[in-house]
Amino acid sequence: MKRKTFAALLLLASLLAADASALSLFGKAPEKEEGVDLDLSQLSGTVVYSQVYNMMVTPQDYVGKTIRISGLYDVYEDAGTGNTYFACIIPDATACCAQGIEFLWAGEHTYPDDYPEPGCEMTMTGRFETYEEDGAEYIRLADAEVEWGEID
Amino acid sequence: MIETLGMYFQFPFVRYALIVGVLIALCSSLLGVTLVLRRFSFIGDGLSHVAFGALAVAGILNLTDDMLFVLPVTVLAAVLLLRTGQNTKIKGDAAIAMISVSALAIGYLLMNLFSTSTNLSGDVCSTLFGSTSILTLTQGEVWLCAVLSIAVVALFILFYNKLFAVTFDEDFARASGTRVEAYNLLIAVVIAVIIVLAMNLVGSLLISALIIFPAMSAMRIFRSFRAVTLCSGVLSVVCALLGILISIVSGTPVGSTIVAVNMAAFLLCCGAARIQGGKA
Repeated sequence: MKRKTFAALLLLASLLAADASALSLFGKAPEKEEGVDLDLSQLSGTVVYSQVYNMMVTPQDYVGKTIRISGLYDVYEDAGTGNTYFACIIPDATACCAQGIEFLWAGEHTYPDDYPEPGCEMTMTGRFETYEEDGAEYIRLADAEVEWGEID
Repeated sequence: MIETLGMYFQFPFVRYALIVGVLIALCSSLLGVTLVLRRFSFIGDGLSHVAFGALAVAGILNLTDDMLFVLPVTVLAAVLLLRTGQNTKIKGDAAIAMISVSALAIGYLLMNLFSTSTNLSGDVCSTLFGSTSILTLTQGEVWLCAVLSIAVVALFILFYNKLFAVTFDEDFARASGTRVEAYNLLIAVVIAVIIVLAMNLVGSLLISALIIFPAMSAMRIFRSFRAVTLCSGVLSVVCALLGILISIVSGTPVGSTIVAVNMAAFLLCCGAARIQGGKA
């Protein structure tokens, strides 16, 4: 009797693993409509952080897709090259880690006049792309439409 | 609510987290009963700190697959700790405490001295509290976890009677011809595997909760080894599922949410035991 009960537990564990493939658990997330392929602006911080992590690990899965995301605005000025990089920062739930996605704001904008103070909440919608700089690959949202302040 | 959950389930990493969370919770609860009964409740904490130290070394050595280093080191520590009850000068609780704090301190020290990461505090925090590790698993890690979990459950089923005997009375088990040392080694290896797997779920500081709470909750209500083990498994799986779902929807840290749900379940079981006139 004991063995039968525990065999049932083993079967359950096996089924869970088998279902992973049978139910397409390893598939990609379905795409959204209305011009946005992946809308992360309505999701919890934990899930958004994890999704951005996945974008950084497997950027090839997202190139060319239109992504909408909310986070905190930040800016980084490279003293060596003189380049300025703008990013949307997504902290994790424990607030000890953060992922950032660089963005290129669509239209003509001058830094710092047209940009808010770092830390301002923002929502952006842009096309995901990768680029190389100094031999390293980076990700960013190009042609991004940016809305400043908290968005419902 | 169902619609909201449905939206989150569209993401593969959410489904990975649920699968791995359930499997780890099941494994940890099965062994948890044995460990609690043998007064080794805190071994999970000690071993997880050893795993943290090993992870720090693996990071410094730039090992592509840190599991190949972390798992053997944790197994070795588990064997040493479980042997401390047998004719050693440093007894169980003191040995666990010494190894635990030593590994934690050395790991953090090495990370500070040699780490090439640009986000040291983030790395440490993520390892200690799990952060979103469970939500950033790759497909390969999910399969590895599934295979190891099924192996752990299978071993538990196959050697259930022997583990039962060794858990309650080592001397009697030895006298009746059971190879106690071999089964202690088996328990040590299985515990180490569970600890390394569970670091992804709740982080190294909170692993003890996965081992202790389900077993203690089940012991409030049931008395037999089989009933406690079964109840512990069910409770652990339900709490892990609830914890992961709550953290996904509300954006709270995964590990601490699972532990909070386990605490609530323990209090509920204590209440149920009091109502029944039990021992809680």
